[in-house]
Amino acid sequence: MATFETDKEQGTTRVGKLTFQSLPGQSYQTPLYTIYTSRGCIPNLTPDNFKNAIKTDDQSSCIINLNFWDLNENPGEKVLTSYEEHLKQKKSDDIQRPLHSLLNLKDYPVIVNIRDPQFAQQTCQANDKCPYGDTEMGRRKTNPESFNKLMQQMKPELLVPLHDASVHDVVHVSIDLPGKEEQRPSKKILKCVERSKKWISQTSTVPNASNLLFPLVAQTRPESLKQFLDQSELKESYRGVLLGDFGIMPPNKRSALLKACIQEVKATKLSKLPLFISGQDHPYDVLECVQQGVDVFDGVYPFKVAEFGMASIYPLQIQQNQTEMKMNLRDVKFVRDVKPVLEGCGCFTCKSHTRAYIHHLLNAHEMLAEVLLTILFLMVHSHNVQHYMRFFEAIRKSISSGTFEEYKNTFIKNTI
Amino acid sequence: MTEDDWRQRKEITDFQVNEISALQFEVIATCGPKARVGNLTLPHHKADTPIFMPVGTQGTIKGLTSQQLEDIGCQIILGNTYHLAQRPGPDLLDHVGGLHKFMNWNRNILTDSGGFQMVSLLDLADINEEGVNFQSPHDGSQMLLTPEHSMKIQNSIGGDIMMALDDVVSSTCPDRNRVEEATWRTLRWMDRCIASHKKQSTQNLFGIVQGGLDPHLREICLEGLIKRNCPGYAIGGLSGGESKDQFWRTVSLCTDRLPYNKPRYCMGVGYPVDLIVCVALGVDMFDCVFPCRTARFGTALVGDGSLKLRSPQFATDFNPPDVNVGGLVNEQYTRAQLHTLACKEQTGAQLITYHNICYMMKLMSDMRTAIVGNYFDKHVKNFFEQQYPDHKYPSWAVDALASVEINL
Repeated sequence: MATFETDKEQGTTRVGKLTFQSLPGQSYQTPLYTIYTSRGCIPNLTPDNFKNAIKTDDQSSCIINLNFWDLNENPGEKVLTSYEEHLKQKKSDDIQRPLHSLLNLKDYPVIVNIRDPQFAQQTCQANDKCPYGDTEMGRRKTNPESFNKLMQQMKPELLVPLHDASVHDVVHVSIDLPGKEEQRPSKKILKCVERSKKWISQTSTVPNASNLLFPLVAQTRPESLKQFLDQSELKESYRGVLLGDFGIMPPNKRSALLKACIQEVKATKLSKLPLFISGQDHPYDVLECVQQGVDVFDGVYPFKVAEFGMASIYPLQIQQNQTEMKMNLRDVKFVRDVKPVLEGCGCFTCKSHTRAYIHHLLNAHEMLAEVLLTILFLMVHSHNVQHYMRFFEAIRKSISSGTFEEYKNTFIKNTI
Repeated sequence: MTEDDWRQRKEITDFQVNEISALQFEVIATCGPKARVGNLTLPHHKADTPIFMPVGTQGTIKGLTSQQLEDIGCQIILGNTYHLAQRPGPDLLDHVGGLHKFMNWNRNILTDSGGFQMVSLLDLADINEEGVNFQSPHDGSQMLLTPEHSMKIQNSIGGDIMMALDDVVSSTCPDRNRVEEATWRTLRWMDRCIASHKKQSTQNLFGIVQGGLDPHLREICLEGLIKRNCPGYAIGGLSGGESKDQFWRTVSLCTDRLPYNKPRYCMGVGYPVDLIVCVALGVDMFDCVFPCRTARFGTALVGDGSLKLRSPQFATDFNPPDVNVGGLVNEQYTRAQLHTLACKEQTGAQLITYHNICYMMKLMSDMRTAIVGNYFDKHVKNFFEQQYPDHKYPSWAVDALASVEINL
């Protein structure tokens, strides 16, 4: 069983703690970021480098975000069953958590979702028969029966049941059409609600090894959401609420919808549960959502930034002077700059290397194709992930010390 | 060129002698007539020979950090002078205080002369007495690499070991005149290298023995370099397509003649089988791109050969890559997991590279242990049995090992 306690609340904003039965003695402080993986591993970071990148003063572990469609291919049911046989023969303790053992994630809790955090917009779709996802190998389908079977085997600490995440509607609402178009719930939304009610109830039966999150559907249409919540079976066994996808919509609109959404949830039996959200990973979005009371995030922000050779340098404390969100290490001005990427940053990259060296790696790439890209990404990922983890720590610290509003306001005001 | 021209271009009578050595080398154990273990003390760190040196192209070993290389136990890494001269360039390296500081690697670095890269990479390289003439691939301008220029760049890089610029000719070159020309020119260039090397007390300049596959020419080059008193010597001009039989005989000739108390480096070697034979023949240092390059194609080196991890058979193989090789990858990963990651995720390339370098380190340390423990011949036989379970040993290896009293 996962437990969630709030340690301090300031209006809707709060810090809290998650604990999991499978990892006794460890607690995970919220607001927190669940780290993105691809094919079961954290991009570009081997376990030793990863451990360094996620360390903050208040915790040295994190929750790992695994994509269901990834897990379906790798390891998939066959390989995992084979691995379980292997563990049985070896009489290994790892048989308790075979997936974690196989992916070398034994030290971490994992969350499994059908939504791929890589994309700003939900990509998992569904038809009347089943949800489906588009993977590298082609279109893959699933259904409540095979989903349950696989998740029973995989035992993720946190699990999002199957639902129709209403891709079309989120996109539709994001486009911000004026007037009457919006008020009427579309046929699509009604379908999503119907399918989801069925599938959620069918996939909320996975035995207690996993802690289930209740996924919201129609989160962008408060009327439909209210109906959905009224008509759903809000069991005791849910340990969290997934607020759903708000896609890319104008901040004010998202803010208003998110507020309405959370209010609806708070009016139900689920009111005391931690709130999860998907696809809100930009620091501005994180700050906004934290203010509204969101506890757990996913996304790819630090990795996306690194992909373009940028190092994150947004502020980790309240400061009054202007600063950039990121630093472009390709810039010629860094050729001879022997300072670390960010003064005072304790990450591996900043402790061991200079802007000049990273600039060199970026430029050498032009000459030697992909050879050096690996180490470059490793450097910049390492820094960006560490910086992002410190960002969440700064949020927690500021909430605890009552200064969150000020941190948020000065952050948004002073960054370019 | 006439016979007279040749004679005129031969050895000049006053040659440069290397005065200072910035290393200490002591043979601490031998086994059989030629295999030996040594303690090599270089300016930045010690090194245990026989040693394998991974190749880092531009100040980095293919996705591994300096910390990881230390964890694995690397003591010397290679930097490619040609690439480093382009980027970051000698000026920037002078500014930051050398390559060690630039890439934050506190152990040893060996740099090549830049010559080989050019000859192999550029079709338009033209060699004359002055140096190697080539067209820059960036802007097509004419560039010249002279011995003086090579020394200058390598001084800026600051490697613990530098290589002289040699006139490297392919071992399969059919023109005997050309090979002879290269032999004599290597000695003349050696003089120019010694004369222009500005940091003799902190950087060791190794001479490279050329002479193709001709024992007579090799002798000439050996004699010439030995009397120039280099701190160490490399056996060059091999691993270029010659037959393995010619290869081992040339290596053996050189190790017979080179001074006992100085390190010997066989450039561009190589595959585990080649390494173990050359150690038996008395070689101390090796470099090769093979382990790192093959890792990026998803191949892991293991005790009895290699594993193409992308192959479907590994999808359910839950053994570590090689249980006898330690390190992070063998402790925490299975072949099945690496199969998924190989060639699809950068992490896969990093992990397999990490493993392959661990494998090479273990390969060498097992050899050293066997020599010190006086059972190197048994060790070699076990190795070959593992690699060739059908006992169909390559004949060149059989001959080479027989020459040092190891009978497969």
